[in-house]
Amino acid sequence: MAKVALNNLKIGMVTTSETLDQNGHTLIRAKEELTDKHITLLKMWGISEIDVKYSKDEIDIELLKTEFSPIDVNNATLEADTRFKHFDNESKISFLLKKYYILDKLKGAEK
Amino acid sequence: MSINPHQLIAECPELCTLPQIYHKLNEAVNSPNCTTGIISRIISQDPILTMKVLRMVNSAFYGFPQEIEDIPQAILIIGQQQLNDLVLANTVITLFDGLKPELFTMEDFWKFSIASGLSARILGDLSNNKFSERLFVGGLLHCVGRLMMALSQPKLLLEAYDLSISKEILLSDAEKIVFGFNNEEMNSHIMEAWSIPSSISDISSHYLCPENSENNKNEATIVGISNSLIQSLRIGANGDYYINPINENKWQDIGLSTNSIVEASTRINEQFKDVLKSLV
Repeated sequence: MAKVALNNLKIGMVTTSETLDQNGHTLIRAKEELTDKHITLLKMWGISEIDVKYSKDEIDIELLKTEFSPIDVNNATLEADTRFKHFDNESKISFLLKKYYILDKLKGAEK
Repeated sequence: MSINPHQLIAECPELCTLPQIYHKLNEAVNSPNCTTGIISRIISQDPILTMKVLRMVNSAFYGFPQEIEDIPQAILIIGQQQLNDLVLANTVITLFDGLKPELFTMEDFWKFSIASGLSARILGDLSNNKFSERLFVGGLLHCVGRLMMALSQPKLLLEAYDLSISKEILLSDAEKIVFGFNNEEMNSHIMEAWSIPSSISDISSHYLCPENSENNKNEATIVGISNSLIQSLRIGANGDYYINPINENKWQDIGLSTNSIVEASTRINEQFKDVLKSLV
C-alpha cells in the first residue's frame, strides 16, 4: 500500500481507502479497481494522490507476517525479488507469480 | 572451448535415437490405413509401456468417470494422435532412466517437465487453443536440450550456471556464452535426431522466443509461460536460478488473464501428483 501521485496511477490499481471530494462526498470507495473514469474523476477534482496497492493480486506482506515468522517472510520476499529480477516489476504477472513463489517458499511445500 | 549441438548429441549415442516402438507407432498413426488393431498390437509389444499408457489415461489428467481397461478402448476415447503423444512422452522419460545429471536430479527434472506439460495443456485449454492436447508433450519436452547438455557436458553447464549467478543473467544467456548455443537450440537438434514431428519440436524449441516459431507462436508462448509458472510454484527443477520473464502483452494477446493463471495453478496442484505417478 502506498500514496501514489495522480500521474503515476494506472488502470487496475486497487484503492486501499476511500477518496473524498472537498465536500466530504465519496468519489471512489476503498477496494475499487481503478478505471480510466476514476482517473478522469480525480483529475476533475484536482486530487493529487491517493492510497492504492498495485493490483488485487498484490502480496500483502504485512498480512503474511501474522501467519508466518516475519524473518521468514522477509527472506522469502528477498529471494523472490532476486529470482524474478528479469521480470518487469510493474507487470501483473510478475506480482502474481512472485506471490506464488513466496507462499510456496513459506509453506515449504514438498512436491 | 568450441562445441556444437551435433557434437554434443554424438557424445551420447545411446540417447540420440528413440526406441523403434515409437517410430513404428508414429508411422502407423500417420498412415491412411491405420486401424485400432494395428496400434494396439504395436503398443502391446511393450507391456510396461501399455501399463503406463493405461495408468495415464485413467489419471486425473483426463478425469474420465469410468476405468479404461485396454488400449483399444483408450484409442476410442482419447484418439490415435493423443495416444501417440503419450507414448512419445513415456518413451523419452524411459530413455533417460538411471542417468544422473549434476545440476539437478533426474527426479526433479521430470517433476518440472511433467508439471510444465500439464500447465501447458491447461493454459491451452483455458485460452481455447486448438492444439491444447499437443501442448502437453510440447511442454514436457521443452527442456530436454538442457538435460542433454547436463549429461554430455556437466562441467560446462555448471560453468554456465555459475556465470548466470555471478553476472545475474538468465541461464539460457549464460549457456550461449559458454556453449555457443542454449537449451532452446539444443532442443531443436535433439528433436531432429529423434525425428519428433515438427509440430511438437516447433513448440518445444521456441519457448524463450515464441516469435521465432514458424507455425506455433501461441503454443510456444504458452510453454514459455508454463516454464515460469512451474518455477514460481517451485515444482521440480530445470537448472534455472533466475525465472524466465514473461512479456506482459504476449500472454494477454493469446487470451490469458491473471484469472487463467490462478485457475491453472489450482488445476496443476490438483492433477500433478497423479500424472507424475502415471509417467515416472
